[in-house]
Amino acid sequence: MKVAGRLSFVLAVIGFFAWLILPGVTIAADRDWHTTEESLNDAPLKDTMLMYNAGGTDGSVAVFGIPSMRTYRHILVGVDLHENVFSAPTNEGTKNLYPDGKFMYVNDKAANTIGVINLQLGQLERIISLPFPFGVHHISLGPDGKTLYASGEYTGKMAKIDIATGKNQVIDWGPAPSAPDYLDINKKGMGLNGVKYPTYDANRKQYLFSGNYYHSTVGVFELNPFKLIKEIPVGKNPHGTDAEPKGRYVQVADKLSATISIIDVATLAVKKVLPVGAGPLHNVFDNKGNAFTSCFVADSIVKTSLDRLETVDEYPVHYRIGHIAVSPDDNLVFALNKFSTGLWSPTGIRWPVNHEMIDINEKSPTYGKTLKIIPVDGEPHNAKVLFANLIKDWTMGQAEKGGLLSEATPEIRPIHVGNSRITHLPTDTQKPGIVQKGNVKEIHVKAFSYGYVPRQIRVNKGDNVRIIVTNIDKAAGITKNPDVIMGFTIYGPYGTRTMLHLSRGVSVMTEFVADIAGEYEIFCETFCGPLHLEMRAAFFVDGPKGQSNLAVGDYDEASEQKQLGLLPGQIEGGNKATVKNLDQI
Amino acid sequence: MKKAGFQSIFIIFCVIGLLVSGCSKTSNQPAEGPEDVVKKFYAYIKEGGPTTLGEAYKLCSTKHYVQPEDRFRDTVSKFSKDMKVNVLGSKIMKDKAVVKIECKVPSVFGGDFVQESDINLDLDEKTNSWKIDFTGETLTSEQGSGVSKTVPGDN
Repeated sequence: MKVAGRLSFVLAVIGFFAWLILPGVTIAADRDWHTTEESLNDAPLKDTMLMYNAGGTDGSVAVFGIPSMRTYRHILVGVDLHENVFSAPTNEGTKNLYPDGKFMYVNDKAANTIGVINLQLGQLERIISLPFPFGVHHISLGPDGKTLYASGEYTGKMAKIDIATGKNQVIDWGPAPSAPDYLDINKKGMGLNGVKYPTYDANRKQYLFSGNYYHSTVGVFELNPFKLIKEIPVGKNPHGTDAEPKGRYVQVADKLSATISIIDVATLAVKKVLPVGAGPLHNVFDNKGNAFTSCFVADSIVKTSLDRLETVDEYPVHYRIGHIAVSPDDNLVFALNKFSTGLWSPTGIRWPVNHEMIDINEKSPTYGKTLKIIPVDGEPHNAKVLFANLIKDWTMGQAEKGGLLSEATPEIRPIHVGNSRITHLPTDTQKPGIVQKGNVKEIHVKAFSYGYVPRQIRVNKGDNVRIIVTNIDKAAGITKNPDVIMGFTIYGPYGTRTMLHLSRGVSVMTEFVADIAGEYEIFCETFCGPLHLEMRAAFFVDGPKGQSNLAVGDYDEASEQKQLGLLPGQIEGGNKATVKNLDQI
Repeated sequence: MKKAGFQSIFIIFCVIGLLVSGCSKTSNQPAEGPEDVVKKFYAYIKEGGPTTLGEAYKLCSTKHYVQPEDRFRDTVSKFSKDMKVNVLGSKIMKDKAVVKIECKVPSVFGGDFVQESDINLDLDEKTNSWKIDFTGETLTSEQGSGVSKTVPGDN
């Protein structure tokens, strides 16, 4: 009896300690990888890097902590954001450049503008209106850090913009049809912390390279004077056109050829064509001579050694990667995936897309593995990453001492799509086309992979316009991703009044007055498949000057960007800032 | 006598034949016509709420495509609360039906925008009921989902 009593006591003590310990073990096992890391104190975790991501149709830039992949905040900029570029003294370095931490420039495809974000304040400070007609797709920083170059996808034009004044120079890149796409400027070969690569050449001539998906070429432009000097034939429908940091090559993702074309900057000719996964879209580089190419259809990232000019590895992604980013410490690449089939809970008619972080450090035990994957807002486009210590801490008294501000810094809050009125209807089964109903011009549009019917829509200035768009794709299209959402946005003055997201099973209607004449391209703003970019149509508003085209329209008025609801002085650039030769400024 | 016997047998077979055909016709006809199904569908959507939208989802055809229920709920919840749907007519072709509806929503230009649309329905043999092809898998080019000549406006 006495023994039994002692045994019971011992068991009770063991049970008590097990009760104390076991729940803790269970909870720790349920934690995510980040909070289970050992920590010496309870200080909040700080990320060593920050990713800035142009959020596409949500009109804002998302800021993520790296490596936690947690969303820090969103900075509202405009309508449909595509390419973000950090300010830097030069264009040297990887796609992240060597940022000075002052500004970030981000282009708005729907509004035809460039937003300037003050990185230290984390807010939009300026908006530069691009000339009309133009139809910006992407931007790239010039070698002097004072100039931006932009591709006019919808007009076959290229622009050079003085960041300080918003003055711009526009040149034509014909013949039509011409669709300048992604662009970059080759480097001299400056490495990290001012250490020059062995390939550094101070006298290396720098050119602007831009893909053109209608020409299936890469255009080469002299910077001063700004002019087209050559077209280099590459694979079918080139997409990402990116300059490597060592200065030797420009790598082109040949979207429909499933290859990459590596252009030798010294000869301005293709040096090697390498097969990669199907649907190559974009390239980023580390500082070790490697390139990473996103392959949309293959669901993978292909790694290429530019020193050996051969592909060396491939990482799977989940799923349908579009853009791609790299960390400045060379340890991580980020797959910015367009589809997340089956990964997340639904959040509405649009599937969540995701960012996937992959270890590319060959010495790491998790090399080639996915470390983290998160759902993200909007339909994100390019992302760039900087070291977090570039963004100063405002919480330690700097604000009271005058902090980082030396003068008044405005915060601009443009209207996003708040003034638009979008109505969802049962599936419209009217024939596609234009009909006059009373005082309204009613336009029935069918959207499908990859195009619109009617392809051209023509109305008169002052018309009441009602557009009803229907996604007529059947289940399981070319991407085998069910229920792909289509988009319908008219760029420029009508960007804020359209931007329709088209789910199958319904039609979407917008109504507005066509008050600015001109030819404005219609594009699909929601990624729908490999030829999403080529899914285009045109909206013509004829004014008193006659039938509109790229030469006839109220383009000066369009470049004033009144639809953004800005106050006088809040927008710069535009047609009034167009000059014949920017080099003479 | 013999002739009268044949006549009686003939009449009896005719009566049996009529009864059988009448019975089978009655048993193959869904209790609810396609128009009623469409009316009920939009009434459910107008009412909203998780249970009611779940009932609307059950009225959708799964013959050609099974849309996830969450996606369906999110999509139909985008319809304007001011939307009014009237059924204009219907046509039944064996195991298919087309219901023509009229949809009215307020227009920013004043008054209502009125849209006429076709809703295709499939006959679900298992439940002997009409089901709505919500995602338009069976819409034909004649119903506007294909390329057709643009109707010029008055400009």
